[in-house]
Amino acid sequence: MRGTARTVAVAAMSAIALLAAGCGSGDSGGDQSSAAGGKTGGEITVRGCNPQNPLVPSNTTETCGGNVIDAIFSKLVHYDPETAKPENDIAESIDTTDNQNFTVKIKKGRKFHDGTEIKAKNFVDAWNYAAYAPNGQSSGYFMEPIEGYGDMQCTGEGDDPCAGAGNAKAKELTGLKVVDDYTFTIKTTEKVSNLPVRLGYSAFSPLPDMFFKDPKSFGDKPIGSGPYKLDAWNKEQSIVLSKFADYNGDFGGKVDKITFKIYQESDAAYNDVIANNLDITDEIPTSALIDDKYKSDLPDRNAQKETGVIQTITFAPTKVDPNYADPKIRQAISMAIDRDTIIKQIFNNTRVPATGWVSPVVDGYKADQCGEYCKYDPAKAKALLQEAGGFKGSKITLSYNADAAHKDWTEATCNSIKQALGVDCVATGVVDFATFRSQIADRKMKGMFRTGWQMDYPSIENFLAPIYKTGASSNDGDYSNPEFDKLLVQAAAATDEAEANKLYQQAEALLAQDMPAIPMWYGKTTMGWSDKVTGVKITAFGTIDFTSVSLK
Amino acid sequence: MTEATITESSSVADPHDAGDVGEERSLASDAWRSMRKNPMFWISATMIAVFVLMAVWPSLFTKTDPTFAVLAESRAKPGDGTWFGRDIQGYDIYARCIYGARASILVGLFTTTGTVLLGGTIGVISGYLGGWVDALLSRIGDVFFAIPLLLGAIIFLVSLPDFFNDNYLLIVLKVVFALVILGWPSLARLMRSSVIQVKPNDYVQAARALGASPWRVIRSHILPNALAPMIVVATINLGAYIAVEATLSFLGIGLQPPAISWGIDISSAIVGLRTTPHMLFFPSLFLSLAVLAFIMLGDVVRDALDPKNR
Amino acid sequence: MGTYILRRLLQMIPVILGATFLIFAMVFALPGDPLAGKCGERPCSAAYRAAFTEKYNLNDPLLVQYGKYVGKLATGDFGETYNQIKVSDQLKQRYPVTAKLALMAILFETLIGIVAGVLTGVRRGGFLDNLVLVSTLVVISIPVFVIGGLAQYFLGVKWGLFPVTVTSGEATVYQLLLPAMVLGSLSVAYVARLTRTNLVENLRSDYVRTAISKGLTKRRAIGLHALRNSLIPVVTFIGFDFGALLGGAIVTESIFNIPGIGGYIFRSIRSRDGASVVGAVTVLVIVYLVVNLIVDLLYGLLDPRISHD
Repeated sequence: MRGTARTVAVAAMSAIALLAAGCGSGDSGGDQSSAAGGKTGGEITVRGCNPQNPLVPSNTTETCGGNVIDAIFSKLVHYDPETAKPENDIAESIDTTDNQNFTVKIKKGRKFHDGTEIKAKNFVDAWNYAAYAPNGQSSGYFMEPIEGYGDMQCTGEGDDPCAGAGNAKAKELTGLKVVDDYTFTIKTTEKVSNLPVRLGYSAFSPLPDMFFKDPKSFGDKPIGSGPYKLDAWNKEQSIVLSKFADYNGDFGGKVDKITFKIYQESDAAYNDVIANNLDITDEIPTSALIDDKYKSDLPDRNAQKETGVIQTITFAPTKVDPNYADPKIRQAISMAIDRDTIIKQIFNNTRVPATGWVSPVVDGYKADQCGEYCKYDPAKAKALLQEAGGFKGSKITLSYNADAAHKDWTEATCNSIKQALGVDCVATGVVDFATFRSQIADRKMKGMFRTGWQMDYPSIENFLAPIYKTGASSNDGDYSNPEFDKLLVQAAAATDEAEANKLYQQAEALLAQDMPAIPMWYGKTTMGWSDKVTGVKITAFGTIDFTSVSLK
Repeated sequence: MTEATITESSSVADPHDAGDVGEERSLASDAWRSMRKNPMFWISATMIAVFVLMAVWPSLFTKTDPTFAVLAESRAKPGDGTWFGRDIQGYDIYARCIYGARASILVGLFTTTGTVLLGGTIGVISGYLGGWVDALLSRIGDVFFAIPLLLGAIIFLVSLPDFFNDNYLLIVLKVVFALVILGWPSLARLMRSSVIQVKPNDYVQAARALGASPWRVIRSHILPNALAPMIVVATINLGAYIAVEATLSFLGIGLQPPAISWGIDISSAIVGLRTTPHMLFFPSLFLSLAVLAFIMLGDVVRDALDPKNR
Repeated sequence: MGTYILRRLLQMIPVILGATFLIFAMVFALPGDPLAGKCGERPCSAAYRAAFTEKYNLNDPLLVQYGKYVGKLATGDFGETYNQIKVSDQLKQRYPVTAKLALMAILFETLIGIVAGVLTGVRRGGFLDNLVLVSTLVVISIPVFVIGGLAQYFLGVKWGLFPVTVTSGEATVYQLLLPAMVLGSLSVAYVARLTRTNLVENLRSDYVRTAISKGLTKRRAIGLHALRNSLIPVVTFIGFDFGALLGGAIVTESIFNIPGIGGYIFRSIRSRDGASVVGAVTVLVIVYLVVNLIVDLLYGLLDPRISHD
């Protein structure tokens, strides 16, 4: 679980489009949009973008395809659009006594769009398919906690790790067992207290039997399990969804038809909303965010809400770049960043200054975990740097991927550091995200670099374990603190939610002492809509809540 | 302030003051004679001189550091201690405009010079010689010309290795290189068609019949006649190349920060088109003025070079 | 004439091969990774990567890849994009839109440009002359994304005179009106100046003076003699421009959300999608060459001294 899970497909989008989409976290503003009522039926158009892969839940980790997948697939668990709290959807119950063995019972009578009933084996088969490495599914690693995952991975070297002897040993997860048509069990390798929360992620969607007969063509016209079904996918133009007549879940939508109109530029989509040619855009272009222009362009037709995203700046591991080893230097740099001004001037208040490493949208969030180290104080910053003996290198570098809109804020951050500490700071662009990430993964990137995280599932654990646990997949700074690791294990084993959260918070507090990454800000999503629709709400994931949208 | 006045005044330029019409009287000295009487020449030359001075010695015009940001005053309107206001990062726009001259002027001048030399030479050769040489050169030109300038430049710039990004001059030359490689065929084709048009004329045929060397025929008979359309397009191109550079920056390719250029500043200001247009206005103004100066000069030179004006 | 055309058509083959190889080689040399963005803002898993590389022959050397590509191209197969979309379908869908846009832009620039050029050329130094010269200068010196953004905002959003964006796959003439004007604006300046310059020169030439002194009206002398000769460089320019407009509409297409070829190529370059780039450019090259041939044939019509036998 690296980087940000559900962010825009960078390659296909313009820089401007990305700025608005990259990050989004919270609670504010959702209400002003929720003018309840509105009639049932009718059709709406919403901004879409090109899915990067065939529409298969386990092979989609980017937003363009993800937004469609979310609308057409129901999962075991559904997240409340307002609070992100998990509620049972297809699941009747998910029970465990030890946080390691889970029994899942599913509701009877729920159907796929081809009319077949959703059964336990549809989940088990789908998850096995995702976890089996030779299938090359991009979100297979979500199955990692389940017992037997390791044996389904390829161990070979070179271009094709699955060739010859390196091929995966097993084809099925030993941790999954079908008990009867409506019951299956999950056994995890280690204790995972928040497993039920995770099961709302799209990678855990059930797949119908016909998928396994022909996985290739499935992606063009997927058969889902959700309130909407896919009618047509006109490549690069539109994706048309319509209400699934036999849907009998609790989270159906009001409108009959949803058309994702594919735009390359958020400016174009925005202009169409103003002209009432498009009903909802989930991205307001930077040009309209300046001085809150969108509020006068779309009076009472806009909303903003914090979403589960945090932007951080990570320090290269000490063995790669020893200049930043001293936590005091890291803290000094953090204190030299004027977050408030950068957010006001560069982001037009569409971000919230971070006071810790966990997004406020999740249960267990505690404010001010970073304390004074996340407050701008140039005098203290300079004093702290001197205490640490000054900066040894010639200049501080802050690297970013140049294919998305990170130039402005990295430049402003560097200017802030430069002026506060009197050390030169340069924001350095790397051609694209893949190149940027591979330099980080190969531990070749020196200095500081931007790291973003969008939650996969609404849990405090998702903001700590995958990023700061020793050897974790997204631990780009090679942070290792035995005490931190110990607290995470204890929290995962805790059966009481409040107790687990307390342990996670204790772990988070340790990060302030060591400062493996500088918290910058939490994201917000801003949306705008035409005067034809009402009831537009933003979910905690920054997506449109299709259960509440309706025509006026 | 227009081309028309230029044309009028230069056609009035006295054709009779030429005492010695011998070999000594070169085309250039003729041109100079008519140009210096033309006020437009002095206006455009002064503007260009100012821009060149800006490019060479920016600190003469401003004491402000163009990379010093006052973020709290980001997007400030003109006034309050800054002449042109501040941009998104809080940089002083006036200082950015002054320091930005260097990159844009360099890209414009180098690219135009490159395309004129390369395209002009190839055009003359293929137009004058004709036959298989013409066929070969035209096909090579076709290969490059068939790739649209902007698209080609994008592919070219994206595929050039990263080490080009380390040094200021190298970044500029990278953009110039891409634009010249893709820009020369248009001038070559124009030159070629001019040459073809001029070649059948009696005076050219007469000179050839009298045994003049090809170089001489080209220089004294074909070039002066074929040069005018090329100079018109080349001077307009100079502005266009600066604009293409800006477009490439707009698309995130080409010159990149920390290089300072009008193109970069325009593209980063474009988001403020509806809200804070002053960020866009000033670099655009400088860009337009620079283009204007070069085109004006081009017109003057064209009229001066055109033998029909004498 | 027939053999001339045949010879020209044969000459096209090396040009097409040369241009496609050039593009193919450059796309092949692109730094970065075609998998960027395929898995959202996180790197793709090793398993995903291996399957992808295998599918698109990404491990073959350049010449082998090019050979495979041309082999398929000869049978009319343009290949598949990295998004599993057939390139030929995309081209069929997008070229008509861009061609329509480019034709409208050409029409716009030819009409306005020649009229402006003639008016200014005939009445040099007048108010209109000055106005046109100044306004062409302004147009030339403002980058197209500024003009496009301004036109969209004022004419589309603020005053509602034109549609703001193209709203559906089949772009109508009305929807393309504003984008075509933006796209053609730079060329209007070129056409006007070229027409004017050449007209002024030709008006001074002996044959026009002779015609006028022989009693031809000025109007007739201009229309029949001077203008016809003045249009040769203009026609050359417009011929060039068509190819450039087809592919150079990147910015305009993105501002107005036009589902055309320019934006498609640009995005394909960004996503390192070689098949799309090379396929689209190949068609572009062919169109350019054909238009070019037509321009050369037009020379003969405009200037009888040039013959193609």
